Amino acid sequence: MPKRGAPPLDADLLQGTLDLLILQTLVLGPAHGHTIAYAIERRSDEVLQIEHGSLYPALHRLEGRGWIASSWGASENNRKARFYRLTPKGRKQLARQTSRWNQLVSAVNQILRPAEE
Amino acid sequence: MSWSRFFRRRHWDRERARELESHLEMEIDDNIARGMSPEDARRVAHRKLGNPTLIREEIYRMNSIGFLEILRQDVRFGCRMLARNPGFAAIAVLTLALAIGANTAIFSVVNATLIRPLPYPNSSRLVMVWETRLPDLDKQNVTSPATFLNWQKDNTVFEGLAVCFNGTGVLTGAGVPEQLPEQLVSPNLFSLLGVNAMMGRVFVPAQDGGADANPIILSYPLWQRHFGSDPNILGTKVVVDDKPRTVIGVMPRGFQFFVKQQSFYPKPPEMWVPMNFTSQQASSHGRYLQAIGLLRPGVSLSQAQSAMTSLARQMATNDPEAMKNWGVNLVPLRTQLVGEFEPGVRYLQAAVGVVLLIACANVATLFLARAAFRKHEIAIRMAVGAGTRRVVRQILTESCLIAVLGGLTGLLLAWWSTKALLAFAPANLIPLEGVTLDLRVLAFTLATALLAGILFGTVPALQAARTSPREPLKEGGREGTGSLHRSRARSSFVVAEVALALILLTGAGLLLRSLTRLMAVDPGFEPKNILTAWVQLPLSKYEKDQQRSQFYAQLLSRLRQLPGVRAASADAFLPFAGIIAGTGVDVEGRPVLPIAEKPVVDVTLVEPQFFETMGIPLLQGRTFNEREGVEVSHKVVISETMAKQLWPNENPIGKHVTIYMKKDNVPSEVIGVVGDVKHAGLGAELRPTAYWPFPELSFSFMVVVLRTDGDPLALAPALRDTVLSLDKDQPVADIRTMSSLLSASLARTRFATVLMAAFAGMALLLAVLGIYGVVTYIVEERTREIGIRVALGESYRGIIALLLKQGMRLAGLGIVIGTAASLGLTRLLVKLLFSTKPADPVTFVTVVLGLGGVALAACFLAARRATRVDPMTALRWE
Repeated sequence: MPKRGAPPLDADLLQGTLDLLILQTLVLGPAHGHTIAYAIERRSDEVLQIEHGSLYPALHRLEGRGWIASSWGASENNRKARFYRLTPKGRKQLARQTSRWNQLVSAVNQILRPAEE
Repeated sequence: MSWSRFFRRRHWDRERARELESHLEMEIDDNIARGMSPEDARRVAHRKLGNPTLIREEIYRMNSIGFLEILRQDVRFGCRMLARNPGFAAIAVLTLALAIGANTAIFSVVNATLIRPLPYPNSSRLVMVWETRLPDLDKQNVTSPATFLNWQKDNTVFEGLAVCFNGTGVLTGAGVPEQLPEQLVSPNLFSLLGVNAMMGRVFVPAQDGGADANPIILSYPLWQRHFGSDPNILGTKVVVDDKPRTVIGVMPRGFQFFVKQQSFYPKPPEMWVPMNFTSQQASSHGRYLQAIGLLRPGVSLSQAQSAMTSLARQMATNDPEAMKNWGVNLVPLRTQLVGEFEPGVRYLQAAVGVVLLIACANVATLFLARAAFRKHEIAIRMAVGAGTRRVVRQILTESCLIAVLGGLTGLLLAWWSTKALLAFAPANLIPLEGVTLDLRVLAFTLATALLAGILFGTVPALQAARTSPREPLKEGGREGTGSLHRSRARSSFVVAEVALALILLTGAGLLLRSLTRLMAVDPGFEPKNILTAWVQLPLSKYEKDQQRSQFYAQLLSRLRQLPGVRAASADAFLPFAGIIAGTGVDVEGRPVLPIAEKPVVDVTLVEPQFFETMGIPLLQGRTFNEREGVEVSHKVVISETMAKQLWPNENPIGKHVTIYMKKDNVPSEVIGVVGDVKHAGLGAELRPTAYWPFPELSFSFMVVVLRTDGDPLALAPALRDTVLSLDKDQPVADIRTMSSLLSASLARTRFATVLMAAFAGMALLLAVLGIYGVVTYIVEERTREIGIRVALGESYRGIIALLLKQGMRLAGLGIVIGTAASLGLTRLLVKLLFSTKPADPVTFVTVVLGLGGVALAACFLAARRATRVDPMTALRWE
């Protein structure tokens, strides 16, 4: 079935969120895709179950924007893996996006709270 | 998305594939470490990662310039689809090619005549300055030296004013004597136009304004033809009309300045000589000059018009005798030059535009029919995830592909048909040299093709997008829900085609009827088997009036003895050849009126036996005798209209009339009345005409007319020899038959009518194919129903009647709409029609019946296919 009329806003929101999570993960140091996927899962107490595959387009996109850089290296198990690290540009982006995210969260919370009471 | 990644997207794809592979391996390692079997570990890892191909595709898409990539895919796929269905593609491409080709050909004419700037740097500020006899404000009359000099002195709106006169001159001194079109120009004309010579220089008032200067400028073709492209031509002496002149310049190839309106000689000039007025000429009120002005920058046409109108009024107050009732009429040069054929070209353009619309409708119905067969494919594409937009885009790409192919083929056709058009077009119809396929034409063709593609692609594409992916699949490929919309769309296309075709058919029908009426007009003489030839005597050699009348009299008497010649005579201004002199007259015994209020008549000079040679009937009195052909006798023969206008209730024979053409005007005695001649063309109004015998004015030129037994042109060599036997240096020019003059006068009308009829024919053909197609489609769609009906005992005749009814309902609707539209639109043709009303009932009825009949035949042919339906086969189809 065609995905007719799928609201694009969701995708955008999710995309932005995933970007933010990847950048945040890389603050701790360079990592390859497999590690990043598990790190995100673990650090969100497994709330954010992502399909690992969807990580790669996101990594590709971030690299395209120059926020992260990559190179081949050896993994813990001595397998070849592509390692990603944060660039200075990416670090700036992370700071900007984190504050924007916080603004958004507090804004949404302000709206949601009265309804809960 | 970036260009560097775009061009390295294959590299990136390999890179990501390796990365995904390594991810999987790590995941499998982890899973085995968690205690899974290797198979389970691999399966779970794959599930966790998702579909690697989809991921790679997503990344690949990120690397590509989205729409380019899709376009490339669509075009490739479209090509495959078309290649798989070559018959369909060929018909669609050919239909469009015909229409686009015709549009391109006509547009190349439009481009050359109406769009491209005139080849004069100052062209936007150039205006023709005509005199007009009030109260008519829009007549275009030549002006006189006196008036021109007055304008030049007192106007406030022109940067400069120039005049010219299109005559002929006999070129001797270099090769064979040749009579050539020659333009006498005021020395400032070339600088006014803003053109320069290719070699040497143009005239300049300072150098060429004196009476003793005798320069001449040659046209490029004349320089090539007569002087063998001599590079040292400048400074050479040539002899024109027995007067030596120095060549000071050769104009660039293609340069021309020729306004046909009221030209004495109707051909573009091949040489130029300066015109300087003697003091006697300068005060002359004889009107023979074309005036052209260069507007001052910033002065609008209407400002100039009102300034010149008030100047004319002032001149009329100062000199009422000569100038009362004369006004000024300014016409932009472009309007002047294209005015003659602009309406015709515009109508043709509109007509081919309509043909293109019909072709689009036709191809759209083809696409719809094919869409019906393709709905299966489209449903599958949608089922596997193609979005509506993607499907629409795919089909639009296909239609644009067809359109571009049609455009390219059309360009070939246009290239070829423009040549054919030019070969078939009568000379002087349009400035033919300019008609080429230049960049603007190419851009037009491309734009037309793409527009056509979108035009005929949109409806089928939107129809296809409506396909619900489930139904065609479920029903195993039979009836889908789209079919109702589709057949409705097809029906409306057919209705539109019929309506548009009907509009063109009525237009062409009206023009055809008008042309037949025009051709049936009696010219007032018998044009068959008449040879005409222009014989102009150089005034230097034949200075005295007596010499000239003797020459013509001798020439005619020798010509009359030639075998095959029944009669011979001569006329100064031949019918259908262009202009005729005109002047005011006074009837003896009535009060002498001021010049501006005198009745005006056309005047020409004739030799004895003119009326007999031409077959113009003598109604009263007698014609000129031999003596009157050589001696001044003050006799005149008048036309019936002149007799009726000047002597409405009297017998004109023996009455006297003063015709003001000379310094000393002596009344002439009316000795005969002859039938009217349509001098200015078959469609023109009759004008009062006075025929004087030759000695009355003793012009330096006459047109010889021979009535022959057989083919007139066979006598051309004998005619030439006879002239040479009298004077070995005397050229003969413009040897033509009267019938060719007559048909040349109709050439433009005939040409436009033939083209219009051809376009209407194309429209008819396309519309009929459309009807045929839609009925065929109905038959195919209802094969099962027809099978059942036949099985239940209904006759094929009844089924055909049913189908005919369906087809004819569409045709009828189209005819009704088309008739209504035509009634509104044909009114635009009114200027082109000769004694035919735009709502001419005969034309309308003929066209409606004809189109209806052809539509009926097409329906019948298509419906007959129903009889081939075998009920058993049809039912077994399920």
